[in-house]
Amino acid sequence: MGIIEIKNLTFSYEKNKKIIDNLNLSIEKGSYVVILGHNGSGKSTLAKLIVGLLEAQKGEIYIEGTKLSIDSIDDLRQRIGIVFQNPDSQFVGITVKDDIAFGLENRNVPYEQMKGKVLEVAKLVGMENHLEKNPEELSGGEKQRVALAGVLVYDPEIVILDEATSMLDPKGVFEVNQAIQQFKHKKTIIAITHNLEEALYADRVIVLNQGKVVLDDIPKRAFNEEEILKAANLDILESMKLIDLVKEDQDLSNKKEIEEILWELTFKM
Amino acid sequence: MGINFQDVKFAYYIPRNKKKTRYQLTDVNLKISAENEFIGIVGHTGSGKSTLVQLMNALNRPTYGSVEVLGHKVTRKNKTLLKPIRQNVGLVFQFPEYQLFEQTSLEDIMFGPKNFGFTKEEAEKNALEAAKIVGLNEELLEKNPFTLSGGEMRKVAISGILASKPKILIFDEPTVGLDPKTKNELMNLLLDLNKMGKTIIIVTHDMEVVSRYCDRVIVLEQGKIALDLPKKELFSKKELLDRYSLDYPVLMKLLQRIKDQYNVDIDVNKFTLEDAYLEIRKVLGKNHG
Amino acid sequence: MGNKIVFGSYHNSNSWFHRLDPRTKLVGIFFLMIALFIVNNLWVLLGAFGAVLLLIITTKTPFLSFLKSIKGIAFILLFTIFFQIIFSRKGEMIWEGDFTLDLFRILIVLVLLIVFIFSKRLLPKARMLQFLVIVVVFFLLQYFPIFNLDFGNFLTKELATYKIMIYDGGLYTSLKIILRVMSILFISSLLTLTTKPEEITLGIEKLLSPLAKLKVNVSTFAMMISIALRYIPTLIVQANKILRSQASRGVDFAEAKLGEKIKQIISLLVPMFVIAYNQAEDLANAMEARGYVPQNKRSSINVIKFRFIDGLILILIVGLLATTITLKAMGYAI
Repeated sequence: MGIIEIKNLTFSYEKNKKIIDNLNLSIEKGSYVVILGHNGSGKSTLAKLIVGLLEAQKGEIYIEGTKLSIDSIDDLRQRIGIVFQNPDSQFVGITVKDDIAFGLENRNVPYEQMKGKVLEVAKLVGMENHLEKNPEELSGGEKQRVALAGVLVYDPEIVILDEATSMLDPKGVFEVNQAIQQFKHKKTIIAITHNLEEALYADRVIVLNQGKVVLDDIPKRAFNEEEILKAANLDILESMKLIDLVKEDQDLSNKKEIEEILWELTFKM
Repeated sequence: MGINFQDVKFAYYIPRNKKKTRYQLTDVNLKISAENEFIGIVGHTGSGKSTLVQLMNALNRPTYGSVEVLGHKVTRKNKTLLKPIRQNVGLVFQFPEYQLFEQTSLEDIMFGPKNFGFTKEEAEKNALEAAKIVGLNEELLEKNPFTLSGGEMRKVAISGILASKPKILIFDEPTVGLDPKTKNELMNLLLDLNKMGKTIIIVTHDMEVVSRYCDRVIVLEQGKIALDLPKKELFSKKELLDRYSLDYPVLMKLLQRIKDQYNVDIDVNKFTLEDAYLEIRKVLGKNHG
Repeated sequence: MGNKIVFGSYHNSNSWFHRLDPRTKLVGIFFLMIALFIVNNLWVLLGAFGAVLLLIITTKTPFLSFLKSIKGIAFILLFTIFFQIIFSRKGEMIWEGDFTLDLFRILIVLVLLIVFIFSKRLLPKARMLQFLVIVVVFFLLQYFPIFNLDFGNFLTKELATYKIMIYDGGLYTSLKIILRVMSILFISSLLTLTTKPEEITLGIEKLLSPLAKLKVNVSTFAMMISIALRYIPTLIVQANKILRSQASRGVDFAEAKLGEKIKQIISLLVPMFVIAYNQAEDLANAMEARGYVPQNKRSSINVIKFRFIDGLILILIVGLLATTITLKAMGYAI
């Protein structure tokens, strides 16, 4: 039984337009899963369903064995954290420390316990020198790191990143990815994105198209499925395109060798 | 004609003690043609990119120096009319869908042209043309823009700028947040507009987009123009990319990895698929017989 | 920039005043303001203002920040004082003047006005000042007899004569108004200049907490204040972006007819409303996902401690207010 079990999930905002269509998924504890999909494939809706911000019309979601429902959601929220896409729209606190502490304040954690924990997670994401700053003084990357800290502070087992870096500049993307490395193997991470590069180092790639899972495999095998990726409105990797050129090259004798080199290097950091 | 920056210095705010002024841009000398150019403006956040392009449509006035746009000269305090400039240099902001406000998409697209003096009939005609160019379905024009999808809203917003028939188009971070397919669609649209004779300027972080679509690259660093050269030149000199901490296009990264891993003398300065492939083949490939 | 409006005020010079509990400052400042309205004796007000200045010095806050608080109110203040001085009839008359208005004088001023209107290019600076100078000249002309020019009766025929009388009562009242207003402004500025916004919010929440017994959700109210403070700078930045977006589409307030102006205002308001709404929805989701439940009891990462010195100060201020009220009730002219 995975830490997240999704069974026959169906969700629509309006009649006759299914955003999630009879979805079944199982996420293993401690894994790093990337969910790929174009805008409109249902990926963000899925994230909201898992954290209980939306209620599905059909199907069930189980988190650590407990069924997600109105009664269980308050307790289950302790087990999951989610970082959204827009750095400005999830920053609640007047200062960095206030925002990080928000999750603990909501659980009425006493001040003495909060103090240390806030500092600890701030250090983890590299924001310990910015605790008194206001959001207007921070860059996008810094705000997203604060959002990350705000989730890590209450120690959820599962962290969902809903396109957490898609609005950031390269520097911000780098900073946030570095911060994620700090807890990568200690938690179950679900990263939702439309950027193939982010899926290269995942344990597992799940491709969503029109609310259905169309591909579910390890990256090396998943990225070979050019047709499925194209149909899902995703790009294919540049190295795939090079490999296609290798395949077509009549005069090349060591095709296999070069294909392997290119493929191996694609997945190297 | 086109756009001509002469010795421009710009500060948003001048304090009482003028010596303490912090300039966002200094020593800007730049010439941009009114036709056919496809320029990428790159640089770190805070290097002055958005400030620079807002000088091109007179949203910002130069603190010192002058900016001449299609024959209209703008200095800090002169009386040049700004509307003709804004009509002919269309600026599409990041997340342009936020500028929508009218009851129907068609009315919103007509807003710009009407402000610039087009008659209602002309504005409507322009609007329909613009919608066609961006690939906006005609049925959507009668709908309230807020009922459209994100991508459709963005098309309405871009049409709104196109409908005033600008000669030069500036896009500030056009691809942020877009998925690969939409990104390609948008960039191809820009390419089409460029082929129609317009000068396209994009401000972006995405070096992939720059390497594929731009002809000319302007690199800003700390408020100054550090580089202004043809794309081929920039991407054929890895040291330049390193010096200004610019991202490599994916193909260059791959070639670099081949070089590092296999210790071979491979030229990493290739950024098109064909060139990269030929180089790999040259260095690693073995022919039959 | 928008940051400065809400947060930039806080200046941390860590004085004894900074370290006071925000509740003390909130309640204390409120009581002091009441006292300032009750007091009406010039000397007492002078003393009060002096005390405020002394207080400011002990907080080691740059004086410039306080002067900024006067900026907004300066014009209205001057206006009020002007009317006080001219029209008050209290006390003893200290000056009296005869003013005559005739066509000749009106003509001179008209000429000056026409020159003013058309001199915009030649003399662009300090237009308000130029206008005020003309007003002053107008009155001076009416006061001083014009050189004996012989224009005949038509031009120098008196159209009106009146007296302007200045009484010392008017002067005193004006002075009192200035002292009172500046004292109040400075004291309230002290609050935001020496207290972190998150601590002010916590202070307000704790002060209002008894209302919870009356089923008022104080904690939610405090959250609303906190979120508002957090978002004002952000919304200002976004408003600026919308302004620029629409300006790029030809919006130009200066050169628009009334009908166009209305549409242009809508082009700013609607996007702002949409942005604010979307932001609110996203924020609500983020808050809910992090476990926020409005009815639940919450702790705080901020700590405010009511100490001995806070008690002392409050007793002092309450004593001051009580004394003021008592003396006033007993008929003393304080």
